[in-house]
Amino acid sequence: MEEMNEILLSLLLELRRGTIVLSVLSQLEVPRYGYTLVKLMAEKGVQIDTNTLYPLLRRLEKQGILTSVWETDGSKPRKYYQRTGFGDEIYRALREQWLGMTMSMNRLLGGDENESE
Amino acid sequence: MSQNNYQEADAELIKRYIYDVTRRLPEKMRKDIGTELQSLIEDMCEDRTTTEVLRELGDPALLARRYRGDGNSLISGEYYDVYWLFMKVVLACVAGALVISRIPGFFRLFAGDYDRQFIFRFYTDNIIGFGSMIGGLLEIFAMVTIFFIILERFQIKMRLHDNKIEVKMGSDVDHDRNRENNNGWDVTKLPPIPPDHKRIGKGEEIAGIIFSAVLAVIVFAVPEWLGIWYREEGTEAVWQIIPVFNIDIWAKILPLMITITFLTLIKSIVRLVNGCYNIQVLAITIGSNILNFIFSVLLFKGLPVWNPDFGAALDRILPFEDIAVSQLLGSNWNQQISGIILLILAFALILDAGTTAYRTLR
Repeated sequence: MEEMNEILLSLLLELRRGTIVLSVLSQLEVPRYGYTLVKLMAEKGVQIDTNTLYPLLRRLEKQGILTSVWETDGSKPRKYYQRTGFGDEIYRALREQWLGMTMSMNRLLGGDENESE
Repeated sequence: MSQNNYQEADAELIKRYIYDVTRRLPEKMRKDIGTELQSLIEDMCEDRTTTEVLRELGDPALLARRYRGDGNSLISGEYYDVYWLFMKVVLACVAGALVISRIPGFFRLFAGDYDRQFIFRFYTDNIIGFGSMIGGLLEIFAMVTIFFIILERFQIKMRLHDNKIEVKMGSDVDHDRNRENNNGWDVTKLPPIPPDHKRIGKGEEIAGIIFSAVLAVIVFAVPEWLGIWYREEGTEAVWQIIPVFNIDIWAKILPLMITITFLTLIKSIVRLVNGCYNIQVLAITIGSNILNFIFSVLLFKGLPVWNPDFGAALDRILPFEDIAVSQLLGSNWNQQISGIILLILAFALILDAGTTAYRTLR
């Protein structure tokens, strides 16, 4: 039983990992502060660990998908991330792929219930 | 009053946490990530306690690995800076020495002292030499890289032993699975930030490395340069050298000298990587000094290191007729000089170990 839970857990994590980048990019049309993004996504039902998100944002910035800006008017300096033009292209392409994949998956998954076997 | 104590303790914890993360990152990233983490943690602390926040962020080692994004790369954050610095110094020294060793040839060319054979050999030597120089540099690059990889793996094992943390060198999935018990890490395990007096001065160590590297290159490539340089009167006016060392048995001497230089370099690298005095630095310093002394004894006492012809050669070129250097030196000067050098070395090594111990333990 324990083993099955472990396997399930690791498969779930793999599943989630695949969607993280797309979900993050979807919220960065406008500049956002990292922690705000965590809370925002949690509200929309997507749990992402802060210690996963922050390194991810940095990595995406390094790849040119995001750009960052330090905001210093508040009480402390905060880094805001946003999609670049290149990031927008990437996002659009990924989103299109995702929507297509979702339709296929729905066919595969929804189909089972109708199988006679 | 107690409110202030809580705040101070919390602030200290946060500082320690951020230090423990950023010290594992390359120099360039440290300030930016440090600032970002600071404001993040402070924001997170608005609805939770500091300890909860830090627990949520998790093991600093893991977080640093994610930031570096190189969980599987050969040489990671802490070692990377030292690795590159070392590489640059060593390659520069070797390249410089190789270039310098070709200069006498160029001088002959300008002096007009050549024949056709010389020209031919000169150009082929230098063209082939250039190619083999690149090859040589690549070899050194590979050796230094492998050396650092080994050093890092060995160090990582040492640290695991200290902290009793089990860090799997696997994919992130493993780490995520261990997330619940945080890999055995806890906030209470945060090491204190080393105070300033325990920091190891980078400049000093780097100077030491450069000195050792230059010495190593000279010893390896042109040991005969270490000695008395003189020029005979007359038309030829070519520089000659009376080597201090016994070049004939250099094949035996060289490995020992290289080993000794190596030990010094390892010590410097460990000190640079750690950045402050701790048990590891102390252990490596003591170990390396002991080995250093052993090999030096083997070298200076076990082999006829000094040029046996030194005194006589000096006599031949010195204008003083009454004084014979060879007689001044005496017949046993070989052993005597070796003894003096070993004494000085022992003193220096003990002093070094002593000051290291003092600065580590105080």
